[in-house]
Amino acid sequence: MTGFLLEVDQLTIIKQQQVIVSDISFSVRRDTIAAIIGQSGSGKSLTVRALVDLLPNGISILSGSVKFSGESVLSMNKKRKKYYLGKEIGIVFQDTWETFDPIQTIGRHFLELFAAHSPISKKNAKEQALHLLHQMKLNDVEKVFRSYPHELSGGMRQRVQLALAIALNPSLLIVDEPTTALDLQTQAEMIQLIKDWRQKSGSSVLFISHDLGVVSEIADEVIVMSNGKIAEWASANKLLTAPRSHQAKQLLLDYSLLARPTKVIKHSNKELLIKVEHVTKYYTKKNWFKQEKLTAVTDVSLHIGKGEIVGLIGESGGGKSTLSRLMLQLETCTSGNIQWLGEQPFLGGIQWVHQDPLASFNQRWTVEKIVGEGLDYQKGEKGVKKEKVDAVLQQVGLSSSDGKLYPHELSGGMRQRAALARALLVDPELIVLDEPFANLDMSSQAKLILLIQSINKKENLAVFFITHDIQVALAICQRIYVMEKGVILEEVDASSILLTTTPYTKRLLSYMPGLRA
Amino acid sequence: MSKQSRYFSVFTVVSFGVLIMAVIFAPLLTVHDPLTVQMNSVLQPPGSIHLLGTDELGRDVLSRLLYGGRVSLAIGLVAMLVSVVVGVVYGAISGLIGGRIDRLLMRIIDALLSIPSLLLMIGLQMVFSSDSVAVILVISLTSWMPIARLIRTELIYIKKDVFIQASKIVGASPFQLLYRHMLPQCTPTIIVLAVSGISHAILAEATLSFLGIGIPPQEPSWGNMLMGAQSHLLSGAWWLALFPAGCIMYTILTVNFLGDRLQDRLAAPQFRKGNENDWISS
Amino acid sequence: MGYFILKRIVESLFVLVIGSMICFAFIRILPGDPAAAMYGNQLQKLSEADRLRIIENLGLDESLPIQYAKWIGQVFQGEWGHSTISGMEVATVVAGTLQPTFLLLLSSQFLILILAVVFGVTTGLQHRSIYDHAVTAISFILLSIPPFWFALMLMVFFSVYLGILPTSGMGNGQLRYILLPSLVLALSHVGYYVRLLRNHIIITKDAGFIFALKARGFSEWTILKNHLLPNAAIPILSYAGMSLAVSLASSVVVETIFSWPGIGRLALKSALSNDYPVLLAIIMLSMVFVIMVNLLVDLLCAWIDPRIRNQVIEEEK
Repeated sequence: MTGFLLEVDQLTIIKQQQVIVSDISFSVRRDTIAAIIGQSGSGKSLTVRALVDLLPNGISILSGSVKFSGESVLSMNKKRKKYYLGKEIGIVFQDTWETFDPIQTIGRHFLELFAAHSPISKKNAKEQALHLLHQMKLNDVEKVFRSYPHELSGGMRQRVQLALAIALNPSLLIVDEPTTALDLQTQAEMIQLIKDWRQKSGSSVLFISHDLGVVSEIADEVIVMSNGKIAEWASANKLLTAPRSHQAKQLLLDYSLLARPTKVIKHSNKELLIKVEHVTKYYTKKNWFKQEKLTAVTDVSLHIGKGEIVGLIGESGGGKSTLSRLMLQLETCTSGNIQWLGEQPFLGGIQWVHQDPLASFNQRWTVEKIVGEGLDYQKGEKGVKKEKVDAVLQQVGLSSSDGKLYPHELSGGMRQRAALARALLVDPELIVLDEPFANLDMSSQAKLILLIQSINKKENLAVFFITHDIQVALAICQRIYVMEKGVILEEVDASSILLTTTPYTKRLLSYMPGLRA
Repeated sequence: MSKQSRYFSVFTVVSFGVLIMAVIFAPLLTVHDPLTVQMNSVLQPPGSIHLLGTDELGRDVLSRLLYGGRVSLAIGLVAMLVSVVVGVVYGAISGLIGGRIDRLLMRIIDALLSIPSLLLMIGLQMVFSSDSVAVILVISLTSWMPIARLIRTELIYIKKDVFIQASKIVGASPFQLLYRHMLPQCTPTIIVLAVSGISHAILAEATLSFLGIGIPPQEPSWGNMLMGAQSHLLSGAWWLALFPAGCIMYTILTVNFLGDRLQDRLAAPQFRKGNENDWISS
Repeated sequence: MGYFILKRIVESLFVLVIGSMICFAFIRILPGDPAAAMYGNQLQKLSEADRLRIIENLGLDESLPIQYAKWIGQVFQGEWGHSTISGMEVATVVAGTLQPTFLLLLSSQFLILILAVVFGVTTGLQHRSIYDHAVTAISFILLSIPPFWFALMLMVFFSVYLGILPTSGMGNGQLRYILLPSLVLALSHVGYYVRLLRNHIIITKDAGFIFALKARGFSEWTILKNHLLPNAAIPILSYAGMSLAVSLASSVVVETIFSWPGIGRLALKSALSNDYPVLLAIIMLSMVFVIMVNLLVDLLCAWIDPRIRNQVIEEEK
């Protein structure tokens, strides 16, 4: 028996005639954690699907082999494969919303799994499931067991997924981007849970991610994938200290950009642009019997100066987006007021980049038309529209031929650039960026940060940056507001945030991957 | 779109166009008057004098088919137009205003939809006198509800869309939002509904006439002809039933097919299926 | 769940009230005297005193809301008037037709369900195969055939040409009598169901949770039985509820052609003979029936899908 649990040999995956993953070979040793790292579109998710022989329709394996404990996965019969998928391998997927049957309880998912792959009775199965959920550090496991997927939060669903994946004690746990959609706290806890489980079980883990910080925390070995090829395969230590390939070096560079706090430019000119004073917003949820008051934002005051980059951090559901919508006048404050001190009118002077750029585009329009929309509503701009649009596209790093495309034809990073271009076109004084990095991989994030910083410098444009990711906020912002449950807890300079005494901020900081403070 | 399916679409459009032309230019194409009774040549099978035969009163089937097509198609078209206009306006009001008024308007639609449409038509037909205008009114008054409901749902979703808010922020006024974003977003739905509305109306006219409560019997329409043919079906006069039935089925099939193709062509770019031979979407 | 049930019941009651108002308006716009519309020729046969009583009962000299209230009161007391043709109580005339129609609807729904599940699921799973295209094309054609024409053709073929099935009536309730009418009713609607189920399966079989289940090593059969079908039940059920009114409408045609002694045939007969009271009662009854069934369907869907009862999926607002 070799020391390898999983061996991939010269695997090539094609879609129609096009090669998507070309000739990759790697192995996962027993009792280790291996990580595949790469940008979105690098072929890592398809590679995972090939490992379990479940490629989507129209995509197939052209050549190569996948061996598990020396046995070829691709030529297993039905019974063997059932055993292999059920007991030898456990998978945790990125998306927690889509991976549960929406009309069945969490409990049913467990019972079905045990019924299919192990001979234990229903009663024992339930006990086993409760034990697993408990192991995942979930509270009130009985209630979780009875819940439907939509009744749990994203972080809880991710833990349940992990519990399902390790329920039958697989020898290999595959974890596909498990943390991308989660906030940093859940991310840190997930990583810890996976590490603990591996130590106890002695199994192997294959960890897929785009985030070098996460990978450096967990992996023993790292496989760098890029454009469907393997760029480098080395131990984690070696990769972090002495990367050989160009791609690995680039990853490190992007990472260091994200991980290092900005050098703060102190603003001598303290001319204010916008002042938010004691703003409160609540929604009423009416029912026939009762009227519930949901408070989103409570007594918030903040200010942004001209040309400043200000951050707002906090966990999801903490009222950050509501605050941005209030500032953008998409909603009205219940009490308090927002004062605009810019030279331009409030409308137009403030612009918006939404976390989901695709949703913020009219998808029947070309990028050009979307970006140029702002000029359609201004008088006397018709003649120069084409040049202006081209110029602004160029400014964000898109070509004018990209303007001819439809939004769905762009990559995630390009979409976010287009959204930025649309905002820049009307020459605003302040741009509100609402979780702009939510769906981007690490490298795209790094590139976008550079872009935002350069625009900020050149145009003296103020930026209000909303995020749950304290790491990104540190990389880009000069001043940061920390928000929890609709209340601003503190205002702090990015450079001095590490010295904070606020417990909540401290906790947020402690979840940052890779940072050993 | 693959070559074959494009040829098929073109063929369908052209052949349907021929039918429509024939119906429009019926006076030029027919020798016999559709209403003239000729008792000396009743129930003639298709032959050289009467290309598609004659009915029990000796009237020329081909003439009646073409003139009847005018009535059936015109009713289909006009009834569809009326119901689409009513439905879109009602749905737009409901969707754009929202709140209590919206809820009330929707409950009215629920109530109307829970009365089987044919019973509603029968009931209304008792109120109006029996002629083409009444048939059109009855059909459109009983078929605008689903249109209104769909348009309303669509608008409610569009209203909430992030891209509408994004346009607002770059400076669009409410009116500009309506006509630059919301209406174009609804247009495909409206067009597809209109097309399927035609086939619905033609079918409804045929059914009403067949049941004897549609177009007055002396006036030819495809449904009327079928009703007349019913009693001769067993005596072997197949041509009386076959041709009008064929015309109705051909028209409905074609219109449904075109509606389906349109739905695909008008979908947002990322949802177009192009070459798939699928009439199914939604 | 409790709140959801209550909300739907109140909503349905509201719809019922609106529906009854529509019916009331219908009586008002009928040509001629409302008393005559309600009682028809019977009015002439009644004594002068009775006639005055009726007119007073209808409250024709009072305001519309009061007239409506009085009318509703009568409807609740079962005073639906008399048939203008036979002179019998409307309730008696209509009651006799309920069972045949119910039988017809039930049997056709049963046929639809079987055909839809078999063809919808198999085509969905074999998306884009020749089989899929063939079934899809056939259901497309079925949808384009007018039900009355379809009924005639089947009748000519099975009853006249082959002579194996009866042309009309319901005999003593033997199966062969119901076969043709329910087949016509089923086939003229089944196309939508096949299409709905097929599309649902096509979309759901590529859903993330199905992939997750496959990756946990479940067999295709288990996934179909425990996950794909239960998930598909919701759209099918709600469509069935919505199209009940349409089925009732088609049953007018089918019952007439096959002389099936049901409510649809009665409706047409009374329409042709201007028997307003009977027609109105039928319209009211079918409306109540459709609203009730839809309420039940909604509750059933909410029971299957927790997201509906928790209103995660908001249909409106």
